[in-house]
Amino acid sequence: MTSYSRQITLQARNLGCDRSGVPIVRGVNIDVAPGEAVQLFGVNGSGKTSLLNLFAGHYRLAEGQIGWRIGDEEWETISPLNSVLYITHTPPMKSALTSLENLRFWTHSYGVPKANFEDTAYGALDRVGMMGHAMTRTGKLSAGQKRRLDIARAIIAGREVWLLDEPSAAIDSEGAEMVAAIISEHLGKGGIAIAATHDTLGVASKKLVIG
Amino acid sequence: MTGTALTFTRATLVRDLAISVRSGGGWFYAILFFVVFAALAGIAIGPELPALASAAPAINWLAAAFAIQLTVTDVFEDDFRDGSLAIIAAEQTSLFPYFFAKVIFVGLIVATPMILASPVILTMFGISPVHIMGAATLLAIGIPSLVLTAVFAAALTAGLRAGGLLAVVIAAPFLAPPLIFGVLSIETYIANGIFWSPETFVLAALSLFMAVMAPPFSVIALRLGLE
Repeated sequence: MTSYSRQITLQARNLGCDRSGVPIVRGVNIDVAPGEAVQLFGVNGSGKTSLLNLFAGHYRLAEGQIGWRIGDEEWETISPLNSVLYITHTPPMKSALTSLENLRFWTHSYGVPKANFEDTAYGALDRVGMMGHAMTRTGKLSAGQKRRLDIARAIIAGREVWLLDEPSAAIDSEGAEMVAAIISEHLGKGGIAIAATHDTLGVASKKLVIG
Repeated sequence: MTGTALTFTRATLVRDLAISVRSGGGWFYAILFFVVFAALAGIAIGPELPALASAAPAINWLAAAFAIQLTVTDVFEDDFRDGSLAIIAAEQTSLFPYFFAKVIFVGLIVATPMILASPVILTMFGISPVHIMGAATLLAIGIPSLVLTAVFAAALTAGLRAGGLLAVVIAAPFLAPPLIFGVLSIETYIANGIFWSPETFVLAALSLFMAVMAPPFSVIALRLGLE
């Protein structure tokens, strides 16, 4: 297991986020060093997903600041190029395409060399227990299976910063352990993860209660 | 564009083509609408050939404009709803490769069949065979402006309820110039035999103008839609 070539640190101070002019999140501080995970807890509507969208760059900061840093380099206000992997609450799989075709699209988006695609994709499918469904159209898969496929996307991406919105949603307990193992492996390589969850993530992580 | 950007544009295009081929022939609606609109207009105008022939350029352009507007409004909808767009916007350096893939997609499955079908429409309306290919080529020169306007309006309204109708309303003022000069260029060509008339140059300029303006503003609109 080789470490990521970039070791990224994230620091957020006094974060505030508004939605339609209404304050949703106020005064959140987060520090994530390479190899660390942060778990965001909070009731529905407390702003966990909004926070992830702040880190993803979709929402504007109402107050506070976010700093990103590669190794010991200067702090930047935006995430390093091609560092973010985002698992949203709906797996972005097109029902008319097979598991493999969906993964192929995302693999191309990460610039994985074409020659390695089959190996990379089958390796990831095997890891998430979806080998038998490589040629199944995702419209026929269950919610949990689609979620597993999205975890395969995370493995393929090779990104350092994982933003996870309920990564184990709809996944059975055995699968949740598998997801935890994959996240641990990512952290072991020096990656960072920020996860919004209701349950425990199953990996050693900082806990942060929102709202 | 770097190799990665090109790879991503191609991957998006291949994905969208595969989806559209497999999901019940939705790609066919644009060309169907184009032909039905023109045929009904012909019925409404009546059987007088001179009247039909003089209306032909206008009908041809109107049919193309509406067929494109009505079928392109949801070009970002699926990616918006299932989170693909949010993921692409968060993970990719730029949304331009994605946007260009969508434009090429619309050009291939909506605009190209229309250009190929327009000689049939023009023949139905009694345009003389010598002018058919020239008139269809004039449509091809102006159609990029229609496509880019439609994709831009779709980007602006992505994720809105009833965004489709709103997109058509937003696009309407942008459609006036290509309609005016598209129709004039065909009329000038048929009347005087001049293909590269000033009207044709303006029509080409409109397409080039939209080619410059639509991409940055569409990408900004998509990002604002995610906020």
